[in-house]
Amino acid sequence: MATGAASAWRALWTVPAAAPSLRGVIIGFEQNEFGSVTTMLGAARFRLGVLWQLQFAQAQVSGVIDPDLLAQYPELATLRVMARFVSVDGLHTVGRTTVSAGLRQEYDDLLGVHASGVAARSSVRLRVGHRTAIAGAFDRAMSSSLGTPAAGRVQIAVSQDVVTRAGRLQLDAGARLGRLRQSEISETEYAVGATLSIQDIMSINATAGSDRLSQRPGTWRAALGVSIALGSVGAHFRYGFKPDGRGASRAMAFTYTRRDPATGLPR
Amino acid sequence: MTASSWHTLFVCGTLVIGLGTDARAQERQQAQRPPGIVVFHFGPSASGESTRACRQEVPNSGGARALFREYRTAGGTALTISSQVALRFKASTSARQIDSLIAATGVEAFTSANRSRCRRYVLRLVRPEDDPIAIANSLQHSGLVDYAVSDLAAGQSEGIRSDSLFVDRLALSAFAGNAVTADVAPAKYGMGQVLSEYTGAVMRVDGAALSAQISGVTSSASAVELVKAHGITTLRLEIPDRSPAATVRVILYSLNGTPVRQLVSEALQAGHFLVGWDGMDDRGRRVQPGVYVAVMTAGSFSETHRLVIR
Repeated sequence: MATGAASAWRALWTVPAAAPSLRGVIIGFEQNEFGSVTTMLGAARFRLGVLWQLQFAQAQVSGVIDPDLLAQYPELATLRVMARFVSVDGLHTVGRTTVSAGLRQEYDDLLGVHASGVAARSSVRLRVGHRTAIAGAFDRAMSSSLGTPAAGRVQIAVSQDVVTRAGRLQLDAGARLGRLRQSEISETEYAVGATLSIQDIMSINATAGSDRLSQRPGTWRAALGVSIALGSVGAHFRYGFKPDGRGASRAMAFTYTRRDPATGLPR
Repeated sequence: MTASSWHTLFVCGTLVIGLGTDARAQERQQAQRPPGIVVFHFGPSASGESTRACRQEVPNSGGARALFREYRTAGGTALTISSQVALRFKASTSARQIDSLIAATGVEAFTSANRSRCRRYVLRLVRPEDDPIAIANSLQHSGLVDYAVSDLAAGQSEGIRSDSLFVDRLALSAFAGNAVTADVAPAKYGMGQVLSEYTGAVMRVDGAALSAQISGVTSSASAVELVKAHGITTLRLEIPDRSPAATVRVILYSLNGTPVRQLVSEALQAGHFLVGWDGMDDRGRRVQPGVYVAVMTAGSFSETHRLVIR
């Protein structure tokens, strides 16, 4: 949604088929203030027969144990909360349809208790109209010692983009409706966004959305992003927040996006 | 004690704790009175195995029996038993959970090795204003007991007679030590993690016991063991004396800020409290293992701590 290299790279984390031709590398860093979660991530997409996507992410939660407990029981400092995620996916596009299949390996350290699991995942993206796409992702746990492994997770999303150009300016506006189903938990997500670009030099992206977990009231969130591009290299900064003050996050990423030699557009 | 009474009265020891009950305005005058001391006493058990295990832990109960007849504080004040509550811990309730409940409510004077096998207790209240029904309800809500009843004759036969209760010297000395320690209301709002397996509803506790930490966690290594086995599911709340009392809320969120469970939403009187989380969300479903954020608010006060569910 709301096209642009940064948005395309972000979409890959949930639906590998979301950007059928994107190639390059991303290295990023994100910090969630409310949960004290620090995430490092990296991904590479390259063509070797089919298009391949490798992803890595590691998240760490800091400040889990109170300082006064640590002072009294110093050995508690050896415990940590960390999760790691590695995946490999292959993608293939035929006409308007892109499909992906891959494996995801997860490792979890929850205050000294370690668990890991492997899940098979696939995704499909169908371009319906010029700017409308339907995408779905399906995960299935193959083996897991994680606390409550999801036997299956299904995510379906519909997105619609509109692009308007005026000289060197380009405005992309988009909307997305997503539905996630995992065990007894369902999440419905709505989002709208817009990206204003100055001919591949700089873009400002703003999104707002609401997600609702199961039968709970919806929670609003919004994000503001700025991207600076120098040829194929881009630097991206993003600040996300929720009106109630919970869930603010800061993210920074650097990308190398391979461009089409003929059009100069990301491919 | 006769030989036959050994068969009917499998008494294995005594715990002495201080247990605050429901909040009252009179608690501000508590410093001038003995605290709400309660005796936890093992009753005879229908389970032969656990009974024998408990009984083996009482090498000197006969000599201690006389001491039970009359409680006296360190200052020599005689205390009268005003009421009592019988309870039986669930078979699934671990020794650590019993430890944490006891430590949450006051001084303890027994070893966890004994408690791990003993299920039945009698609480004897020495402060007339302590409400045995409220205490029984609080225990029932903790989820750790099969039952807790304020009337020993209310169909839960413990086989307890007045001469079947014991207190050992160690318990009595701890009782006396606690009797001279008044629980002082905190000066300001506060919240923090407690190493405990207590997962019940909000419960008033003795602040002195909290500062001593939960029994059973005697070393840094045992703290690590407890956290690995149970996670961090218990919070202490400190409520200062304010008029009018502000509504205290403790709400749990996932790491991305989604509300998961409201643990507390009531106007608490001044004092120290414990609240635990059983790992369920507001709809009664077990949440995914992981880290959750507890946010306490009271008026303009707000504080955040983490809980970890296994």
